[in-house]
Amino acid sequence: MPFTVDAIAAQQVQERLKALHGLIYEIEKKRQQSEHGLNAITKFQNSQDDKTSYHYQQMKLKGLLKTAVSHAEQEEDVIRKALQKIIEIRNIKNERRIQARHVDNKETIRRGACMKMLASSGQTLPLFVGKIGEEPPPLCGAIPAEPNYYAKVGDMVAAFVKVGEGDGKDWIVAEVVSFNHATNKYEVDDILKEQNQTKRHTLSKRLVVPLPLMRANPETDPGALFPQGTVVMALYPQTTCFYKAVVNKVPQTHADEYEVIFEDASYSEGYSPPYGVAQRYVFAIKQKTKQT
Amino acid sequence: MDGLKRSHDLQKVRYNGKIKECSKPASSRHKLYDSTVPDGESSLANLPIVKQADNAKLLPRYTAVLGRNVDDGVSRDANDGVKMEDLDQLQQDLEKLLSTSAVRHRLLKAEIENIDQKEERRENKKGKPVDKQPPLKRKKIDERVKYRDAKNGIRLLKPKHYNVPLHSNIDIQHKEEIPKVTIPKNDTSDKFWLSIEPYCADVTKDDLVFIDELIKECSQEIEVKIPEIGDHYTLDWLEEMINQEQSLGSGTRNTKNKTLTLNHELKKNGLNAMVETFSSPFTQRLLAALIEEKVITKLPTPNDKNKVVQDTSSSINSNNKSPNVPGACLESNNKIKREEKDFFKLHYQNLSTEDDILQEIKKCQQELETVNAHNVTELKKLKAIVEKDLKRQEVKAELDHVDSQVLEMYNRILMAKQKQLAANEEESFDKTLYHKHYTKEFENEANNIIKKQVSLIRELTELSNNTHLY
Repeated sequence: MPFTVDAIAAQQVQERLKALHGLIYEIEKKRQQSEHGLNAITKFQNSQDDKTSYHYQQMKLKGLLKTAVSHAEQEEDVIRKALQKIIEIRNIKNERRIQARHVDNKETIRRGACMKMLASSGQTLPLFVGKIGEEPPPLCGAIPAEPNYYAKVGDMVAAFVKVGEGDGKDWIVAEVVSFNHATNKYEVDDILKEQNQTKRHTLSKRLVVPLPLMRANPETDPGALFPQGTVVMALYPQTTCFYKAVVNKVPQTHADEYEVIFEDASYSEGYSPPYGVAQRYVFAIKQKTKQT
Repeated sequence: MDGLKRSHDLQKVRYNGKIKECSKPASSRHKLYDSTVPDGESSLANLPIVKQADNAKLLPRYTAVLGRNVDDGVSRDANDGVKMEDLDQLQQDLEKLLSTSAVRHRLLKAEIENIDQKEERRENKKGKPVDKQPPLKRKKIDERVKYRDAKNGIRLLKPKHYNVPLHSNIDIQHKEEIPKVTIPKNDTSDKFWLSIEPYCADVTKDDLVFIDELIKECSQEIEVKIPEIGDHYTLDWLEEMINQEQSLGSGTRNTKNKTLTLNHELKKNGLNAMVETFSSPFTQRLLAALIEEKVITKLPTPNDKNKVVQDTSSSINSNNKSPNVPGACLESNNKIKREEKDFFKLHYQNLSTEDDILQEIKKCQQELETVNAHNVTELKKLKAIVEKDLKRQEVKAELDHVDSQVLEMYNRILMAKQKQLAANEEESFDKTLYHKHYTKEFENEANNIIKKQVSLIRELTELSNNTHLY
């Protein structure tokens, strides 16, 4: 087996997949534990009678609850580990892709494939499930990046560039190629590579907005989501451009998307019907930017 | 499946459809909440968990992966597309599990805290039997709050919004709570009135004395002696100049020689000292000779200087004099100056009758006198007012006294009446006489006092009216 870069990467992926498989078995065990614990609580509650003292009952219940908490903690731990493995695998894949791009730049994706890729990457963006008392980090859901943050190579960003022939600028999905600290400028690639125009853009930092690196879990961190009614920039379905939109419905579960209404002059009311947009493709607009 | 359906309905009731009902996808997950227990117990019955029995239905990929052997599991085909598909789905399944377990974790924690709180409450009011089952309605509300709190991880905190940039004005409800500011006690007005008080205080006798002193001072005659007019300043200056020149002229001859010798000696000594530093006697002699000569050649220099001094001093009118004869020059110079002086004297004596400055001084004095007179009249007015005010104060004090007397009187009458009532029951025969006697006395007294009061008030108003005119 030749030790090429690809082979090494493949091996790394293999290792993680194996570990993941192992973890899944462990998860199953922990789940069983948790379920038993909960069953015990339910049973205890059903069997409550007036014979024993209230105090005693409460103490016992507390004990049961504590066990259940520790079960939940353990379960959470293992699941986090498993998810971490998946993230690692994705990272390895992504790095391979970036390296490949450096070597051979003729990678072309059809429009349809590109859309599919965007959708899946929006879906598989890691989910942030905060531990108790933990605050969501920057670039999780609606939490903006820190001012001195700059997107890493290969990260997805929204870039404000000229699109088409001279009809203004638009926010497009792009990928960071490099960031120059001296000039404070990004080099980004248009994610859509089929168009016969300059796909590489050099933009100052303020014209580039890093897209979220994690999804926020509505069930544990609802604060990290744009509330209903917020004016945002959202990816218009089947395009790679962001347009101004209003949040119509906030995601309710980890798998949900935002439901947004776009400002769209082609509709008689001036607004589009509600569309679903993944958390990854919704970001806050800056007040300064003039949007056409 | 029957159980499932029931549980779903139950769910709706429990959360009142508020949190979860709005999302259809969510409800699918919450169907899972185990609830074999009838409604109304506690949130414990609804702890979210994905039951293992539901694996196949709710976690398809997870179940599929679980079903494989370790050997042929996910690791079977590393590089084909199926694997990526696997991962995506698996991630979703795992996230679902994680989210469920995280929520459960929070709920459990909240429940434990709840129990702790109950315990505390129980300990606080020992002896009182605790209701085992609080009213159902209240409990429900509690649960809802609890659930929401638990979701945020920390109890008793409002939902946080982590610096989410809001650009729409629709989000008014997410305004941050304004922290209560404790306003420091404002005593500025008190301070102000305290500072004002001395200005509003009653005038006292001291003030009167002060005004008297002022009047005394102002009514004195202003006696400023105007000195006799002296010589005109030009004459004075001329005199001075002449004196100076005379002393200079007489002194030059003596001082000339003196300074010269002094200078000579000084130079010589200095140079000699310098000469001595040279070693060989020949060079010494030579140098000494040279210096001697130089000193001699330099001799006229101080003379020249003197001449210059003379020139400057007499330069006012000495065009016709040769600088070589200073004595003669001085003589004539002085003569001319004396003539000048005489001329000026005559001229200014004529002028002295019309002295501008004297007139100005007199004018000023007159002005001063008028101002002073005005001051005195004003001060006298003020004095009158102050005196009046003092009187007013006296009257007021008297009035206060009378007022208190009136009050006293009133009380006494009241007392007497009461006594009368009490006495009436016992000695009714003596009543009329007694009554008359008393009432007359009281009436007289009261009348007197009230009259006094009225007169005082009149006086006071008169006084204060007058003062206010100014």
